[in-house]
Amino acid sequence: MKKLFNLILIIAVFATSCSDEFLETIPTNEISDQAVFQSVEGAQTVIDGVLRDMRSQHGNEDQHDQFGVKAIDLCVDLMGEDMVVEKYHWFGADYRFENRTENDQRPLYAWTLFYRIIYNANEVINHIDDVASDSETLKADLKAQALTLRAYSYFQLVQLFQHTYSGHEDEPGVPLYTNATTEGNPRSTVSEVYTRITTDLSEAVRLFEESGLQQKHISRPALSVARGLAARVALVMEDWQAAADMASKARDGFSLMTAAEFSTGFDNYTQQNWMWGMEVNSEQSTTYASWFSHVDWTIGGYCGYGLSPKSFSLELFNRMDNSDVRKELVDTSFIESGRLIPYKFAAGNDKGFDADLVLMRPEEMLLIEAEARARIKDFTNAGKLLKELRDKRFDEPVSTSWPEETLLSEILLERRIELWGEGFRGFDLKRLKLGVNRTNSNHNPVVAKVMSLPAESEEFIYQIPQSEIDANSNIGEEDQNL
Amino acid sequence: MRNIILTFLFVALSISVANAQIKRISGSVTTSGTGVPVSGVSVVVKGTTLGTVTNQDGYYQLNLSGDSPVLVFSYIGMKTRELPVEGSILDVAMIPDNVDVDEVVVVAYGTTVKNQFTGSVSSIDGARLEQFQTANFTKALQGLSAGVLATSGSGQPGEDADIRIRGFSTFGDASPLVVLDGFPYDGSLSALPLSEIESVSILKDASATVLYGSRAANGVIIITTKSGTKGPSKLDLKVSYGISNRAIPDYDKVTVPEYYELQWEGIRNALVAGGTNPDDANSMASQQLISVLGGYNAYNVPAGEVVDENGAINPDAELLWNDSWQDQLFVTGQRKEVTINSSGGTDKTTYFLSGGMLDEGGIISASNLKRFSARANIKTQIRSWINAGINLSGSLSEQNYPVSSGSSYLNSFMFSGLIAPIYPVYLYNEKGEVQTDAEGNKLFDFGTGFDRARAFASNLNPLGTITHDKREYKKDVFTLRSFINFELAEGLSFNASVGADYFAYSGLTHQNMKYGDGQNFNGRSARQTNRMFSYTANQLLRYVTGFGGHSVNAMAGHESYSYKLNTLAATRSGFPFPELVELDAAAIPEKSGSSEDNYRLESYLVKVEYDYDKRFFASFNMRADGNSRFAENARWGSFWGMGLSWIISHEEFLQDFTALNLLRIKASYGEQGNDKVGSYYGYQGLYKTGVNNIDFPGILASRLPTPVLTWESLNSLNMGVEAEFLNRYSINFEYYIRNNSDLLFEKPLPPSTGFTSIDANIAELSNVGFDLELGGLILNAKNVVWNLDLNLGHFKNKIKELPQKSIISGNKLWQEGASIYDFWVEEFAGVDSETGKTLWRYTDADTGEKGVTTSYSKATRYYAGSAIPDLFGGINNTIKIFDFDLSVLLSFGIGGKVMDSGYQWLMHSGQYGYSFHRDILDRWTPENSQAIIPAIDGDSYTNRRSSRFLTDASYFNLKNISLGYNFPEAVISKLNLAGIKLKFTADNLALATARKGLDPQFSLDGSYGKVYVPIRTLSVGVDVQF
Repeated sequence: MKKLFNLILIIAVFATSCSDEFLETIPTNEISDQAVFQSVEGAQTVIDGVLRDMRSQHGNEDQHDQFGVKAIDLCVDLMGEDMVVEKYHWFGADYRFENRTENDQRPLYAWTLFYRIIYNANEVINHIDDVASDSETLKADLKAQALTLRAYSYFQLVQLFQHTYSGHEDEPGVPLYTNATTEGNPRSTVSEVYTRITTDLSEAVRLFEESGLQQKHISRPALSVARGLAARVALVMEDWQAAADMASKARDGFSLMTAAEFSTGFDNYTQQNWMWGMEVNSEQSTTYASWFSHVDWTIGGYCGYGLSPKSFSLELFNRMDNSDVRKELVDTSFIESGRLIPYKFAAGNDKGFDADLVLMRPEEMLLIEAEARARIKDFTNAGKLLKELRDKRFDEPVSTSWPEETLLSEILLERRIELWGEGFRGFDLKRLKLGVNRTNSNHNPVVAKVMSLPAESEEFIYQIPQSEIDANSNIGEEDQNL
Repeated sequence: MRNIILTFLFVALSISVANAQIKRISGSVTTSGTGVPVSGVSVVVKGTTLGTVTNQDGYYQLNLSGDSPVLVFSYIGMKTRELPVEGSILDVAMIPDNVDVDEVVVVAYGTTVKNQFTGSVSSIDGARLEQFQTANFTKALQGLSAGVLATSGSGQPGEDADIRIRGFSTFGDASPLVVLDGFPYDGSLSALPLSEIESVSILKDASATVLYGSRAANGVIIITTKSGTKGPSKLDLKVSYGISNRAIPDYDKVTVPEYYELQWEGIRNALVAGGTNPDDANSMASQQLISVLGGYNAYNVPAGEVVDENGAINPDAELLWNDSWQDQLFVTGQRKEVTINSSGGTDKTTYFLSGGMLDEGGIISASNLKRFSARANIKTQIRSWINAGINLSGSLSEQNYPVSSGSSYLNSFMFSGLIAPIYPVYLYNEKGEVQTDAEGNKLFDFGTGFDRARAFASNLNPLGTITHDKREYKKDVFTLRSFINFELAEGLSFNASVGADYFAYSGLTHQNMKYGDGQNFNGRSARQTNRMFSYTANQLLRYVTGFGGHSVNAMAGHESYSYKLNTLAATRSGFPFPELVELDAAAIPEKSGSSEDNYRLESYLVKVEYDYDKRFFASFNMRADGNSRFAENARWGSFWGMGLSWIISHEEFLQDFTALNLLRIKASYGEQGNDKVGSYYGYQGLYKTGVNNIDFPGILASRLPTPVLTWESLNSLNMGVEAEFLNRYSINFEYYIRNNSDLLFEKPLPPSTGFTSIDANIAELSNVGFDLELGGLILNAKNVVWNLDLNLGHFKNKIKELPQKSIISGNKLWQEGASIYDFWVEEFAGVDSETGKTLWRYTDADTGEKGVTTSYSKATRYYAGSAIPDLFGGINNTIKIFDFDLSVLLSFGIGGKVMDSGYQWLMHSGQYGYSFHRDILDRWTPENSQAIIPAIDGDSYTNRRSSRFLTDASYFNLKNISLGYNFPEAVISKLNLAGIKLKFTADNLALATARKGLDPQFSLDGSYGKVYVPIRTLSVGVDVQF
C-alpha cells in the first residue's frame, strides 16, 4: 500500500502536463498571409517589399549577376553594340548571346524575378478592396502602384521572351496571371499581353489621378511613372500619337538635367530629376552584385578592379559631337588598346555601392515624344524637342533644324547616346527591327564571339525556362521559342 | 615483491575469515576450440584483490574462502569470463575477443544484449574511436560500420562529416538523429571529445529507431559517454602531439613556360576561328599574350617576345619569379591534446570525471580549433529503492575558419588550385625584384601593382588577406543528463529524466580595411550570436517480470521536448584602424537582425520486450508524437515497430554441433516518420519580413500555405542471420527494404505562378540493400593475436513516385525508376579529328536518331551512371604482438561516379589567368589529330559539364593506423603505476583514387569542388594510468 502511495505521489510530482498552446509556434521573421491585408499599411508593406526585391541580390551570396531589374537592364544593353565587354566574366555569356536557352540561368532569373513581382502585386490588387480603411484615396493609390508594377513586369517579360509587338501580335507572349494560383497558364499572345499592360496602366493612371497623392519616395510608382510606362509601351506598339501624348504628360513637372547634372555620376536621385529610381543605402546595398560593381570604373567592383571592364563603343563615340558633354565623359587615354572608359556611371566621388539606380527620367520621355512626333511627320515639334535636349548637352549652341529625312535617325542616335547603359539598346534593336553590328568598333572578337546578328534573330529572344515547361501543363516543348 | 604482498594478503585474509572454510582450487586455462594453454591469464576472486596468473602451461592454483566464490579470468584478446567455483578443479576455455557472445549495446531507451535484439544495431567501441586524431567523431565513422556512408568532411578542424544510414531516405535532409546519453542532442558534434565516448550505437531499422518517433526515419546515432564503475579510483592521463598536412594533393598542373605556350595557342586559334589569317594570328598572339594575361611577364624578355610566332617559348628567356602558391598558402598543422580522467565508485556511488584540452591546427594558416572540455557523471543509490544520476558536461571551443569552400577567390583551395603558375605570391617589379615594406617584409602581389591587372582574381591575395581577416567562431555547449529512478515494487520502477542542451554560438567575420574585399568599405565586421536551449523531460514506468521461462520487460511513458533558438546578427563597416574588429569602432551600419524559433514535441511511448527461454525474442515499440511543425489537424501521428528473433543454436537439436557457437535469425518491421521539412512552420502561408525599402518596412510572399502537410513515412523491413562458429569466426548478414513515402517534396510549380515550388508530401523512395559483417580470428598464436573484421554495405536507391514525370536537380535527373543520384549530363563523344572541337552526342527529338554535334546547346543529356557506390565498407585489423597493439582501418568505396569539377575547371580552352591540368598537353593539334582532349581555342563550352568529367569514384583509404605499446608489468609496477601505453597514430595515411587530386569521399551526391581537403595527421601519444 505504501508503495502504491509512493507511485501516485511520484508520478504526480514528475508528470508534466502540457497545455494546448505547447504545440502552437509562430515565426518571428515571417508573418502569416492573413495578417498582412488587415490594413493599408500592411498592403503598402508588400509594395515596398517588391520595390526592395527589384534591387536585391538573388541566388547564393557568390552569385554576383543577379541583382534585380538592373541586372536585366544590363543584359538588355549587352544585347546591343553600344557597350563593350573587355573580358569574359559575369555577363560575358549574355554579351555573347550564350545565356538565352531554356537551361541557361538568365531566362529563369528574369522569369522568376518578374513573376514574383506579379504575384505580390496581384495579392495587393486582389485584397486591397477588402481592406478595412477609411481612406479610399490610400486604397486607390496602393492599387495603382501595384497595377503599375504588374504592367512594368509584363512589359519587360514580353520584350525579353518574344520579338517586338509589331508584326508579332499573334505570336505567343508570356502567361498572364491576375490571381494567385498554383496552376500554370498557357502563353497568351503578344497582343493579349499588351492589352493587359495597357489596361493596367490606364487603370493605374485613372486611380493615381483620382487619389491625387504625392508619392512619398522616388521608388514608389506615381502618376508620372504610370504615364511614362504607358508612353514606352505605346512606342513599342507604334501607337505614335499615344506615345507622344503620354510622354509629354509624363514629364510634366520634371525639368531636363543640365550638362553639369548629367556629369554627377547617375548615382544620386536627388541630383538628377529622375521620375523613377531606386534609392540605395549602405545597409541595403548589394556591393559586388550590383549595377555599379559591373559598369562603374570609379569604385572597386568587377568593372573598377578590371575583372570585367565595360567600355564605351568606339563606333558610337566617333559619331558623337566633340562639343557633347557626354563625349567628354568618355576617357580616351587607352583608346589605342580599344578601351574607352565611360564615366557616366560614377559613384566614386560622392557615393559607393550605395549609389542610387535610375529607372525613368524626363529625357527618355522627351526622346519618346520626339521620335513619335517624327514618325507622324510632326518634324517641327520633333526638331524642337531634339534641340531642347541637345542644348542641355552641348557646350556650343546646336543647329536649330535638321533635314526631315535625317531627323528620325538623329533622334534615334540621340537616344543611343543619352540613354546609354540604361537598359534600352537591346529592346530598341528589337523594336526597330535592327540587327547587331559590332564590327568596325572596339569589340574584341575573342570576347564577343558574336560580332553581328541579323534583324529579328532568334538570339534576341530568351527561351522559356525548362522548369516552366516541366511544371506547367499548359506549356509544352512545342510552345518553346526557337 | 608482489609475491610478498600477495602472501601477506593471503595471511591477512586467512585470519579475517578464520571461521570460513578454506579450500584450494586449481585448473588449467586453454583457448576455446584449439585447446592451446594460455599463460599469463589473470585469475582473481571476484570482489577481492586476491588472485594469481597462469603459468607457462596455463595452470593456476588458488586458496579460497567464503560462500560461493566466483573467479574472474581475464586476458588481453580474450573475453573475460566469470565462473562460480564448484568443486576443487576449474578448467576454463577462454573465448577470443572477437566473438562477442553477450555484448551489451545501447539502444533506444535502454540497453540490450546484442544477440537478443530483434532490430538492427551496430556498435562502435569508444576505445576504437579514440584511436582517431580528430575533434569530431563523425569523421571517424566511414568504414567502421556496415551500411553507414560518411563523407570525408571538410579538413577544417572541428567540422562534421555527413552521415547516411542505409541509403538516402529523403530528398531533403537525410542525416540521422543524434542522441546523446538517451536524449536527442542539439549541441555541436565537435563539442564531444572522443575520449569521453564510451560507445556509439547506430540504429538502422525502424523497429530499433521507432521510439524516437517522427524524428528518426533517417536512423539514429546514440552516443553514450563514459561512466564510473565500482572499484578503486583510476586516474588516466593522455597526452598526444601530431602534425597534419594535405591528405589529398593538388592536381598535376602545367609549368610556367607550358602555360604561356598553351595560352598563346588559345589566342591564336581563337583569332583564326574569328577569321584572322593564320600568319597574322601568330604574330598577334605573340604580341597580345602578356597583355591578355594582365601584363604579367614572368620572363626577362620583352612582352612580345616571350612566345615566338611559332608558339615556342623564347629559349633565351629566364624566369624572374617562380613562387609556389601551394607552398606559401599551406602549412603543417600541429595538434596537441591532453585529457585527464578519473573514475571509480563505491557500492552506492560511481563517478566519472574528465577534463581535456585540444589545440588542433589546420593546414591553412589561421585555421584551427581550440577546445576545453569537462564532464562529470555521477550516479548514486539514495535509498535502497531510489537511485539517481547526473551527467554534466561543458565544452568551450574557438575555431578560426578561413574561407575554404565555395567559389569565392578568398577560398585558398579555389585560389591556389586554379591560379595560373605565372602569377607570383609576392610583388615583383619588372626586373623581377621582390618589393618590401619599410621593415623589409615582402609585399604581397594583389594583382594590381606595376600597371598590371591579374586576369585571375584581381585585387586579391588570400595569403595577404587571411592574415588580416578574421573568421572566428566560438561554440559553447553545456549538456545536462539527469534521472531519478524509484523501485516501486518487485519489477516495477518509475523513472523521471531530464536532458537539456545549451549551445551558445558567437561568430565574428572581419574583412580587413587594407586588402581585398573589405578595402572598399574600410573594413567590415559581421557579428552573429545564437543561443539555443532545448530540453526533453520524460516520465517512464518500467515493469519487468518473468514466469516459467517467459520474461517480459515493458515500459510506458510520456515525453515532452522543446527547442528554442534565438539569433542576433549585425554588420558594420568603416573602421578607423586596422587593429579594431568589433562593431563599436565601425561608422556605417549595414544590416542587423534577430529572430526566435520554437519547435516542440509532445509524445507518448510504449515498449514491450518478451523472451522465452532465451531462445525466442519478440519486441513491440510504439510512439505517438504531437509535432509543432504541422497544422493542428495534421499534428498527431503514431509510429510503431515490432521484431522477432530466434536463437536456433540454443535448440536441443543443435547441441551436438559444437563448432557452431551461435546461430540466430531475426526479422523486424516498423513504420515511422521524419519531420525535417526545412521549416518549423511548415503549414503556414507566410510573408518574409525585413525586405525593407530604405526606411519603409517591406515584406514579400515567401511561402504558400500547406495545411495538410505532414511528416514523411518510412516502412522498413529488416531480416538478418547471424552465426559464430569455431570460436573464431562470425558472420552477420542483414537484408533490408526501406520504403519512404509521403516524402516532403518541394513540388515544382511553374515559376510563372510566382513560386518555384510548394511543399507537399508526394514523393516516394526506396532503399533495398544488405549489410554484411565478417569477423575472424586469423591468427591466435601465443604472442600474436590477429583479428580481422570486414564490413560491407550495398543498396539500391530508387525513386518510386514523383509529382511530375521528371525533375532536373542540377546534374541529376529524377525520374521514377532512377535513383536520386543518377547523373544526367551531356555525353562527351570525343574530339572532331578535323577541327579539334568537342563533340557531344544528341538525339534528334523528332526522328530519335543519334548523332554528334559541336554545338553544346544542341547536345542531349543522358543518364551517365550513379554517384552511389556499388559497395562500401571497411576492413579493420586488430593485431596484438607481445606488448604491442596494432590496428589498421582501411575504408573503401567501389563503383559510382564523381563529377570532378576541380579537374573540369583546369581543362578549359584558354581561360585567361586559369591554370591547366597537365592532361591538356595531350590536346588536339593538327599534328595530334587523334587526341581525345579538344583543342585550345578560347571556346568556353569546351569544359562545360559533360560525361567527360565524370570519373570513377572508387577509392581505398588507409584511414587509420594505430600502434600502441603497453609497458610490461615489471616496469609499471616499479614506477608505481597502473599502466603506460605509447601510441603512434596515422589518420588518412594513403588514398588511392582514379585521379590524383580527387577526393571521391567528399560528398554523397558525387560532386567535388574546391574545398578544404581532408588532412593527414601523424601523432604520438602517451597514456599513463595511475
